[in-house]
Amino acid sequence: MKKRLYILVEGEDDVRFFGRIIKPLVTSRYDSVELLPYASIRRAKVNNFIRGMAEMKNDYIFVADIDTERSVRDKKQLLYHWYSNISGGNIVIVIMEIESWYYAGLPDEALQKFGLPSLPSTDKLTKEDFNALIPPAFDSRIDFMFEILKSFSPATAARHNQSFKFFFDRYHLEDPADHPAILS
Amino acid sequence: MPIKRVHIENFKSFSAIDVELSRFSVVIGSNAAGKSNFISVFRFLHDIARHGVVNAIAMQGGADYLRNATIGNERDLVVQVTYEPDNAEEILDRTGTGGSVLEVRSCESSYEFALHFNANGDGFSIVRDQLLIGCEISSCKKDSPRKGKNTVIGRGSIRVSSEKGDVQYAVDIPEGCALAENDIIPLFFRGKKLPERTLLLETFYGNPLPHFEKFFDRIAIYDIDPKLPKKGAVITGKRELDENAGNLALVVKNILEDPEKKRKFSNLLRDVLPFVDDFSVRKFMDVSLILTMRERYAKSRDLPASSLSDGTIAIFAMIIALYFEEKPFIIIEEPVSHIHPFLIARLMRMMKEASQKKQVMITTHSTEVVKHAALDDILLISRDSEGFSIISRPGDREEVRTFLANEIGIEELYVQNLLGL
Repeated sequence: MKKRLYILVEGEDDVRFFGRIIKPLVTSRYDSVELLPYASIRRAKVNNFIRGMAEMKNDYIFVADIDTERSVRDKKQLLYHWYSNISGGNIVIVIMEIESWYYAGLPDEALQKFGLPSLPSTDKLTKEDFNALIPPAFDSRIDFMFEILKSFSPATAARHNQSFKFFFDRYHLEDPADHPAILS
Repeated sequence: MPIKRVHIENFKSFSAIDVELSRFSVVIGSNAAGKSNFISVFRFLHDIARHGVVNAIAMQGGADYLRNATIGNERDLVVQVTYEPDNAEEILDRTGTGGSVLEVRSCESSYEFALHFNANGDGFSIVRDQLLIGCEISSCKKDSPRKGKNTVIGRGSIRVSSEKGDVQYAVDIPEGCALAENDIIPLFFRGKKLPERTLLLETFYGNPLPHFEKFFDRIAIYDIDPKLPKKGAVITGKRELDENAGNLALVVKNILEDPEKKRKFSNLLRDVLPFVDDFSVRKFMDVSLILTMRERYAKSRDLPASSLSDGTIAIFAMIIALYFEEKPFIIIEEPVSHIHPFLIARLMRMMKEASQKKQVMITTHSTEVVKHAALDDILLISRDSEGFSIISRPGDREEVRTFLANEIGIEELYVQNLLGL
């Protein structure tokens, strides 16, 4: 019997990323995939959501930015402190912030089209770095982020960002470019 | 050119208030607290700039509905707006000596008028009417103004006032600046008289001055009615979005004609409504335009506007108002009344983003909007013990900050009516 997958993400930039890129890759495995932005929900309630998901034996992925923590381990410790019901195996830490995952997935043609530099790694790319790279032709960050996702390549992202690669491998995701059936 | 501060006296339900505005303001308050009256200040300024003060008073329902009912004509009606011009630099003088030119940068400026109403009827007199432009004058290299290192000479001001219709100028030039008053205000502007009961705001005496041109008459106050676009738009009409969004189809048609605008609009729309596959505008009987939309679920069928949800129509209109209308300051009344709570965070991000380019103000009763608003962006309107409307910032209150630090959500404080503590 299939079950639901809940993906708890911080905010709207994560909703856009997971909704357009990750959800289509895992939809076939579940009855439904639901996104839950938690940044504006109080911690006690988020904790109750997690408990409910586990009680119903549904799957969940808890996505959090590393922020100012020194390591993934430190960030996980903080999350355990905030959410007593969370299980470490369900946590995915984004390094540095979701913007680094967006940029990591830009293939060469898209970088050329936007006039952007090719970065060997986006592991240290912050939100501020990303904002500074937005081409002047875009007067809306939301528009630019949406445009990135139109040409986003998960395989490229896995080559340019370690935390995305970890997530990609751990959930056995496949790039739709390699497996066109995922897109259908 | 963001408005930084508004001061009003004897205006509708307000006795006297000073309000600091940020680039994005969320105006909340219970029913009849005075939200619409506050918005009316900007409507009044817009109407004066566009139609003149006599008409603007009439458009508010006449003097009886404009001034406060309790205060009446005991005190003048005063409106003062302080604004920060966009960082526009102008070359003032190319003839400077030693290879340098003089450059002026606009600084905080203000416009103020006071009206005294007669005891009966709509008769009034203008008791004060003045524009004060602050500026900073610098000396810089002739070959690379704006790029080279400037030497600031000092701060000055240009005061334009109307005394019983006589337009007068007073220029304060900083010491050490080799300019005369006539260099700044040419002689042909002097000795002019305004028609009776006319404010500087509505005349060209204010307009040639830096950054005063085309601001107040371009303020837009949207009260989107999703039912109107469902009926279609007349094929002839203006290109800017009507404040009730009645001509939405016509505006979307213009966006569709520009591939870059269409791309951007499509991205923003699908960011809020991922199920949208495409949209278009169809001509009907050669006289009207109908907006149509295709959903991802039914690729072969276009839905006409009459079959779209009120929320979908409102989102179309809001994206246009936020990103495609060339307005310096927009107000959207109750923007989320047709929107599902899950989408409100996305729209709030758009409003916040758009406010980097234009000043945005919204009024709302929605707890979801309050939840996603930054505390410093919230303006709370309430009534004092005498029934006058007052405006406060919950973010300035220690009690509110203490509750928030204890994981009480701002929306809960709002619902429990504790934001005004």
